[in-house]
Amino acid sequence: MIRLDSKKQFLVSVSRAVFLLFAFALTGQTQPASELRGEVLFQMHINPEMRVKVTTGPAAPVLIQNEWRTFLVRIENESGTTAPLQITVLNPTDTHSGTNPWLQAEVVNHAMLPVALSGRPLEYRVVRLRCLVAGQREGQISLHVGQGSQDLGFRNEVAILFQCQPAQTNQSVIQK
Amino acid sequence: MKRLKNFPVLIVLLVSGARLFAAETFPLIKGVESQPLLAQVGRLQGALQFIGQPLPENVRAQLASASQKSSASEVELAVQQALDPLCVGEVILQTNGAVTFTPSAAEPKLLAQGWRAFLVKVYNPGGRHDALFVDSPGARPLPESPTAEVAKRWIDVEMLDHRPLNATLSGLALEYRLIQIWAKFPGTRTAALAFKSSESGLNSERVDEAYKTYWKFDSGTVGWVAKNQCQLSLTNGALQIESTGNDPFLQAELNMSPGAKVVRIRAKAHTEATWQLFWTTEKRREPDTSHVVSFLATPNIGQWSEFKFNFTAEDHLVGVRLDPGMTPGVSEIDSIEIANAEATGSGWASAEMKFKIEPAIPVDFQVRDLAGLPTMAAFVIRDSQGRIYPMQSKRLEPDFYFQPQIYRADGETESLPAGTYTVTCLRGPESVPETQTVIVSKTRHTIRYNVQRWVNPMARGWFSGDSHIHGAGCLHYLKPTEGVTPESMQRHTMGEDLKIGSSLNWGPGFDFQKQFFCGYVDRVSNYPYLIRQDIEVSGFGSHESGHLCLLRLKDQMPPGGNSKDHWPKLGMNTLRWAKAQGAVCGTAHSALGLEGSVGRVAGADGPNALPSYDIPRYDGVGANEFIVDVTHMVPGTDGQLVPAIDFIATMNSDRRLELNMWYHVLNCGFRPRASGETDFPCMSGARVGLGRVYVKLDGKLTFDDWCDKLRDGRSYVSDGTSHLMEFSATEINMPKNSVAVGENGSELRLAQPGKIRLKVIAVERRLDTNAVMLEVVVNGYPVASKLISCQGGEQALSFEVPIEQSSWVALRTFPSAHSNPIFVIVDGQPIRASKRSAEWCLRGVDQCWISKEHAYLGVEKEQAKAAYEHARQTYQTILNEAASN
Repeated sequence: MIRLDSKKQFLVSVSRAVFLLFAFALTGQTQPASELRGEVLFQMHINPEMRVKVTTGPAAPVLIQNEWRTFLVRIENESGTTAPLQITVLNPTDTHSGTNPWLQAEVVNHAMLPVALSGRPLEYRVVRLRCLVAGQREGQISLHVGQGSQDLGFRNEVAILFQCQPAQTNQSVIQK
Repeated sequence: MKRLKNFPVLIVLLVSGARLFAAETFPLIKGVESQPLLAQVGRLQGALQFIGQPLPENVRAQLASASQKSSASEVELAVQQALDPLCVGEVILQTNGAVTFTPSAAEPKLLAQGWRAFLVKVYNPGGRHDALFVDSPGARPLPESPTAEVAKRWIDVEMLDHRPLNATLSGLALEYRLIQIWAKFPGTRTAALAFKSSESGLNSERVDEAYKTYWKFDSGTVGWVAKNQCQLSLTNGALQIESTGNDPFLQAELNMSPGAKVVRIRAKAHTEATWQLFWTTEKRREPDTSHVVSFLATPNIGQWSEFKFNFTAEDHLVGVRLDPGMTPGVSEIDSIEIANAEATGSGWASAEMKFKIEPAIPVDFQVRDLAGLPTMAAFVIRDSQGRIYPMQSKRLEPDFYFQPQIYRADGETESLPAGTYTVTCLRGPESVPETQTVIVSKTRHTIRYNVQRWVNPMARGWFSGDSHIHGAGCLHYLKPTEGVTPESMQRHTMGEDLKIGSSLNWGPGFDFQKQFFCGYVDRVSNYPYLIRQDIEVSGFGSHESGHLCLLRLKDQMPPGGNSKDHWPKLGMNTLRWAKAQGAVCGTAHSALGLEGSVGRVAGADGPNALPSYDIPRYDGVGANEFIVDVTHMVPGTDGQLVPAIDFIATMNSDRRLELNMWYHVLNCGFRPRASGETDFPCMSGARVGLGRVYVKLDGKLTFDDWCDKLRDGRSYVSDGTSHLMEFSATEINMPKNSVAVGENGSELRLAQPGKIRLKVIAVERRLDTNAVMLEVVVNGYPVASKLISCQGGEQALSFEVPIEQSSWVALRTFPSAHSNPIFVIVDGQPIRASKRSAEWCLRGVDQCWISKEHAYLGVEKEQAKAAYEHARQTYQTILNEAASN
């Protein structure tokens, strides 16, 4: 997890992640910078038929209420597709807390790392998540690359138990 | 904390996450938040539904009620009251990773020769993310079993942890896991169930490492090193061992706990020979003759064989050495696995349980077609709780685990325990579904199904086919075999009453499945049900610019290799090779890559955005390079030029996007026809023939003739619920000037603008509506329509349509069916229906190049540039010639 305490730090963090990933892509390394390996929350595999499978990565699923957190997506792309990466929270409604949506997720779009994939066999993208409640929450999240790419049998979905820590009162809340 | 199990008095511990002992079988767990608990329960229900073992109705109602509770304490109580009675036991995972297991007092009911699913309650106070394993001493293999053990090895058990469940515990204090138990004999028997957790923090990719070491040689020798008289290399994802002397061996390091191990080596031995596996341990680091297993490796006519054997490591394993025979030659290894063989050793929590096992009763199938002849059909068998038989997750071919139905022929048998069943019988979309209540008692029973039809296109000469199904890949398994055999695919096509099944070999399992290609109809075909093996270019070659279905190949391999690594990267080059041998070629899952918008051709879209003038991204593997290929002619079998691509696939991806591409190129005067496909089991695993093409033939069905008429467009595409037969067009002022679709090039020639009469016999049957709209489409726009009944029965319809310029005309019941077009040529002029369509195509070529340039390599990049430039010039010419929009 790349921890952010302010909007400025968030932007710095995203820029750093994007820069390191961009350098990784340019140099054709097989692994990203070691300091980023632990940031991978989603491991995505796109088969030749563009069917997407997702598993969880080593990143700790810890969020802080109302703050955006960035994570990496590791993408093995056997199809060569250049379609945009898409992320969806499948269970945004929390009837018991009354906070809807309780979880937001989006792909970070950056000039050096656009949401559209490059078609390379291995690449990384940056996503960000924000939890609007505190406590343990299960996020059911799907990643895909467009219509028809969701794999059959729920395989492009992951269920992650997030530890959503309460908002810290002395820190500014990042608004979208 | 002292446990007071089954004590009838609540002892309240008001500490978050603490446990309360209650009168229920298992102590209640408190302090669990509602949202993650209910989310988990939802996934559990989804998993049970997926494997055909839904929860009993009363339990589902209890859970629905639980989700409505207002407080977390009420929710957790209601969930446990609903699910605890279904658990075979409770596992407690201590914060240090230690496991205890307490079995249920009830006797779980099993099924002889069948599988049952059960829940296991897990209390995880430390929030650990371990994998949880289940095993039983009675589940050890019978081969190599001590005599005294044979009677005890009657059970098999496994943890079910595939999606939507997680491979590891979520970290929530309360969780329910799913296990499956199989029994060999009926009666009352005892066996131990054992549970163990992996190390904390394992993610799903690392789960296997906890109990086995697995080498797969897809991208390297993964730690195996040639040590003596051999050389190692990789070929097609396998480790190739070239033995150069009489004592070759190779070694690898590993790191596994002591204990009994089972080894599985999947290999091709070059000659029959004794292979040996030595193991080394921390205390004994050199191989010796007292720590070796020998096994006979026998060649299997070029096929993979699995060699399985056991050994026991007395202390920590650190290495293995493999000696592949004593004669020079080349052997191959696909994979090596060393796994813990039994649920003993440190960390396992075990308890004896008593099981009550119901006997299975043979049930025969009597399946007859309209003529009373024996045939094949689909059956979905559910018991009174909604559980499906045979259990889906334990199916191997010919039954597929991802389908609720099984396909059974007249005279075949299935085993069911005594009880009442609801059996749904169906033989493809042209048959009338029949639901029977079947009571199986203690004596042999027969399920009788006499197929009734609501439509019979074959009686009019229309033969159904699916131009895109697979025997391997996607939902199929790659182990224990790399996909399934043509026999299984034939069973499914016959059970769906699908006359033609084009079973296409592609990326996964390519080198295994290629053995089934023969260049003609497969020997397993049973007239009029024909299976033919061909190719989908997917996962190799030119796949990145759009997959291609190559039907009726004479030779499955381009020159220069014997696998999939040497294929051309440019789709046009693939098509040149295929068309030169007389193949019929088309796209696959056409809408993939035709989403989004990178710009627009000015003006409004048609009704319901069809046609649409958004320029798509061309970033997928559907009809992408198609926009280029359709402008090309290439040499056919006799050297005469023929269209490079014959059809665009429809019926299995976004219907509007499929048709939009087709309409625009038809408007430019090109004549690709539509085919119907499923891409089974990738786009859908529900059944083969979900998307179909019905082809009209004059005589007996042959695959060659069917392909020719598919190419000629003597056909309609359909999902099977809607049929558009005998489509024809006649000049009203000259009734003898008439053409039926697919005959005489589908061309009706008019001397001047005038009216034509269209005729069709439509048949529709749908349960969700009483009537649907049948539309006449001219140059992509609906110009006339009629409501038709969905009650079945043939409806002869007629339309009068004015034709002002050369046009294409077709019929559709969107999204269920579409006819192929009839081309009405006025005054000998080519179809130039729309400037906007020409501009859409022209800009599409540019966008496709932007998206696909990276996929063309080496000399083919220049060829690709030329192919795209040809397309640009062609569309520019058409744009100049088109008179209007």
